[in-house]
Amino acid sequence: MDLYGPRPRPLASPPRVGQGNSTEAGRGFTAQVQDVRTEALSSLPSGTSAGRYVRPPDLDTAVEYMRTPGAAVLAGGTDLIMMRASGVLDPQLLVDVKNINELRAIDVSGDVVTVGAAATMKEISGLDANRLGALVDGARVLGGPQTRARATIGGNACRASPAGDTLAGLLVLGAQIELASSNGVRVVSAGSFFAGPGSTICRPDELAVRFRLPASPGGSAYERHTYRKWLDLAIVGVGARVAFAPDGVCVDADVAVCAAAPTPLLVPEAGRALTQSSCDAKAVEDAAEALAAAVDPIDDVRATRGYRLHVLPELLRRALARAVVRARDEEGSGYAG
Amino acid sequence: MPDDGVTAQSAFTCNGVERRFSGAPDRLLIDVLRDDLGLTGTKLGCGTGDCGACTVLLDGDVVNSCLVYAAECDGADVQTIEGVAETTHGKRLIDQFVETSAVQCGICTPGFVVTGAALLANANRRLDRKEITEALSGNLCRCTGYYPIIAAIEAAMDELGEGSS
Repeated sequence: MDLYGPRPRPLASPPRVGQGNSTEAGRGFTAQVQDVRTEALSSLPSGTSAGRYVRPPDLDTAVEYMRTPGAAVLAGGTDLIMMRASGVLDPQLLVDVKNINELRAIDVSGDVVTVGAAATMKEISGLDANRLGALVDGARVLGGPQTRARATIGGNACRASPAGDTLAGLLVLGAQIELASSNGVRVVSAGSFFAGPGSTICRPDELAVRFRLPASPGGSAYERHTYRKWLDLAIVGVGARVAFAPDGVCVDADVAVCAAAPTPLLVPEAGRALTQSSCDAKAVEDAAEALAAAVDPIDDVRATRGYRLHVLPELLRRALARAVVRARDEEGSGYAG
Repeated sequence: MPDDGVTAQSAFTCNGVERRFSGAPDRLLIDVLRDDLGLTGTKLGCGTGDCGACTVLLDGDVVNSCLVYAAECDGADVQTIEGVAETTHGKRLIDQFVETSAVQCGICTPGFVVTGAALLANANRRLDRKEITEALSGNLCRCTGYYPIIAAIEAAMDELGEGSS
């Protein structure tokens, strides 16, 4: 599986330049264009069944459906539909979870914020950035407006692209992920959720129900590097969270990175370099060094390993700068001593 | 909803008209709109959600109709360019698209008008160029270089501002 997601289907053969429709060859060109167009439409590769589709009204029904071999959750569909069309995925049963209220609910009323797995990037974008900065930042830059209206946090997490834009935020905010199956409910930390590129510790019959974000002191932010301003995947991204004591000393810090390792990665050594410091330039430099030592970026179509390592420190600086502002903006200065 | 799930069904309104879909679970909304309903204003560009040519409004949100199954639309309100073009905001925007020469090949235009009209409808103040550009960031144009499109939206916004009470 492509590390960074499926590519659009290539043309069957390249179009020939300079030939009109009136010639034999020209007609052939038109036929090629038509074939490509048909491929881009909903018809699946021959031999693949169209599968089944169900729309459970509640979680219990969804859990029951998920016991079907080949069942897959359909939430936003912004990855699944594409991967299905290109044959990368072939779910036998699509379980549309968008009708399940508890999967869509977002509750910010308590100390622990709960975000339903089917909450969209658009909905998450509207949450309080002072409280959930790294997650909100990621939700605001993922894809484009059309993607964000559909894409969900559950999808982003379960798709487990190493470059997922909300995933560094889940890590630095200490998210807990509630998973349900016919065996019951289990809660897994975000830190232990990701197993490899495109793979999680979810069992085939499990679905993500909600994300629990404990009250994290301080402020957080997510900063990524992309070539285009929008509609792009992260070359590399950094999430950071910092909390300060009233005397200005950083008492708690977490740093996570995406698109620089087989999974989104929490880097405890980088967080440790920041604690008991004032997050001055030296501490940030130490943290950047720790970050560089912990990651293992690859060369791929988007960037080289060397380039990723090159931009990482600056991303950390920017993420920290914004996290610090949010930490200091928070009422009560973020840390109850 | 059928028991077996092999045929998917959904009932949704499209440009104000109630429609019933019954067909393959993986039938895309864009194909139902274009092939079944004859609403060919919505264009297929990339098929992967990367260009916005297929933009429609789904319950008021801009979405890529190439990444929505018709089955998912039960109970939804769908507005295509054909519907948007009949709205006040849509008409105003289309006039401005003509004024600013925001149309060259036209393949991106329906998507941009849908997105732009939704922006006009939802904005509670005159947005600046950066905000407009960001709202359009899911729509690509290969011909115009974007400036005439942005100018059309700005002009429509200014018009709205003048006319508002």
